[in-house]
Amino acid sequence: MNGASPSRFLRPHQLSALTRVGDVCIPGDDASPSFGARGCVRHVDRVLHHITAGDRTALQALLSVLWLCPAPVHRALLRSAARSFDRRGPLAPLLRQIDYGLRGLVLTLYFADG
Amino acid sequence: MTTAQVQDLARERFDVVIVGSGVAGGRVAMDLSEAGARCLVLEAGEEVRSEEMPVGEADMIARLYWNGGLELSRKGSIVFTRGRCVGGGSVVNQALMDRLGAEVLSRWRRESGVSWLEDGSIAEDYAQAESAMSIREISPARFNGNVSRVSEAFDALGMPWRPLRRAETEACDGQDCMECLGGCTRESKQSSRVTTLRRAQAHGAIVVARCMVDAIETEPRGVRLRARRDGQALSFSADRVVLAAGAIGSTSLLLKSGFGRGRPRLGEGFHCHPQFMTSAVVDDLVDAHRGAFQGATADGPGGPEPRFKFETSFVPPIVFHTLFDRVGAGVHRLATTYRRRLGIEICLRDTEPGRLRLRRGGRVEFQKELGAGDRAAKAEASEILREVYANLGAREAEFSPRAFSVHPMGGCALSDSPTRGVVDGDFRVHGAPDVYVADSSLFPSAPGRNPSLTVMALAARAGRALLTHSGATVAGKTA
Repeated sequence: MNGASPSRFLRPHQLSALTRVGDVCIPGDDASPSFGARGCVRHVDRVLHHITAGDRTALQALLSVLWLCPAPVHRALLRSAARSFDRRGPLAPLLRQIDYGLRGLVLTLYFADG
Repeated sequence: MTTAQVQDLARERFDVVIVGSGVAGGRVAMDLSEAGARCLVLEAGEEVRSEEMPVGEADMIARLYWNGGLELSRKGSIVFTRGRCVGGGSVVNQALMDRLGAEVLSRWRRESGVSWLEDGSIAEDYAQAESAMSIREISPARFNGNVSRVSEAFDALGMPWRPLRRAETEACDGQDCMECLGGCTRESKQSSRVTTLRRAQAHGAIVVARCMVDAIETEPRGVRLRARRDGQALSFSADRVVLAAGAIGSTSLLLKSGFGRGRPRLGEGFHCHPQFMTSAVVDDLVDAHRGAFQGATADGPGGPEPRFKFETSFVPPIVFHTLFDRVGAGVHRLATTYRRRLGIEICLRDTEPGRLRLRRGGRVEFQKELGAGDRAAKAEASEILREVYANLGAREAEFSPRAFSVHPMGGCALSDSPTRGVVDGDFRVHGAPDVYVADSSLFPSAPGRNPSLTVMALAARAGRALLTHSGATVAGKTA
């Protein structure tokens, strides 16, 4: 465990940031629950256990920064990351990593129940 | 296998240690052990029994792929996926079996200088590879709604196509499990776990899972391998080592072991067949996820060596959303269109090589991005698919901008010259006669076809070469 966190790898504020980003990626509708409502972060260790320590450290740092940011920043970041595949420039590689690492993690956790 | 048992193995000397248990490692282990060689197979991934293969998409990706299925090129334009478990890539691939045409083999002959690539003898290697497993052509009677519709559109547009061949048994028939992107609980998919490796073990080969090889040291007679298992350092010795850890694994192991000195081509010539998923929606049920969802293929223009090909394909929800940039309400809408979706994959024959390098800490870096030629080929392929989807009356056609690769190749290219390649025509690393390579790292360039069968054929040939060098025989045949 990591302090009072239910995760071995993420601290409570990082889990909170992940939930907020997850709700931007997957908000609920009449038929389906949002990322947060589904309690997806409970699966996070199942996934993070299999990635490298270096990637886990990078994710922890990113989530710590995102914890300080409001939802519009999360939205703008995800939008920029998605557009980075059609663009060049010095930030494009980092944004692509964020797209796969963050959005990919959210999607994996949302469908982790099968 | 217990720690004590593995420690006992570290005190033995083996005829051959094989690094990797997938497409190539299984084949080499089978041939050598059936010929009487004492073989040890070291696999970095875990052993997952067939009945325990993860069936949920998230666990499949997390457990059976390197780094949780997420390895990116340096600039993030291509994501690489490769198997990490006993059976390696053969557990997670689509088991599509293509022989290479004469044009590709002729090109490889020119690039490598290795004469047997073009003398016709590789046909026997292919036959040997095919004989070790059940291979079936996906007949029209087994086409799912996606394959039948898309193949009809290919016909209507005058695009020659052919059914794919797959290493599988009849246990696949009528299933809609889509487990093929992970393991196969039915043992239908003919992975090395249920074919070559199983035969190798029946003839005495020993497989050690969760064993990561860090370095190879050549000795006056033989080799020594430094490895780790469950945090414990281990050392294994053998007369010879065969690297069968795939283009990324074998190349990075040689780089880590210092083989780059004096071998300027080590890590160079890396190719990967960048692929892009496309999809569109029709009004009636398609059920593209059913049965052999990769059933038909058509080449792009360009004669016998086209720059791209198409394959009918489909992906489960996590991969679908990741590739197609679904966020917000779009994630939920997929559920309402999933069974009415068509799916076709674009696979490029990349002609601009990249390279593999080691970063600080020993992690491999993929210096391989999409080139201008790749982007142009993808644009041309997408235009053709717009016509295919239009012919089918489909709407909402989507073309994923995210490239992925399941075919890493090159890095230890075959060549008769140490200045042009890394491995000689007898599968030995130039200047290191006890170090063999038998996997897709040998490819001099991208073939533009599914590589598994060619890897198996090369591995069969490598096994024979090794036995010849050790004065042994294989399967009753004088080597």
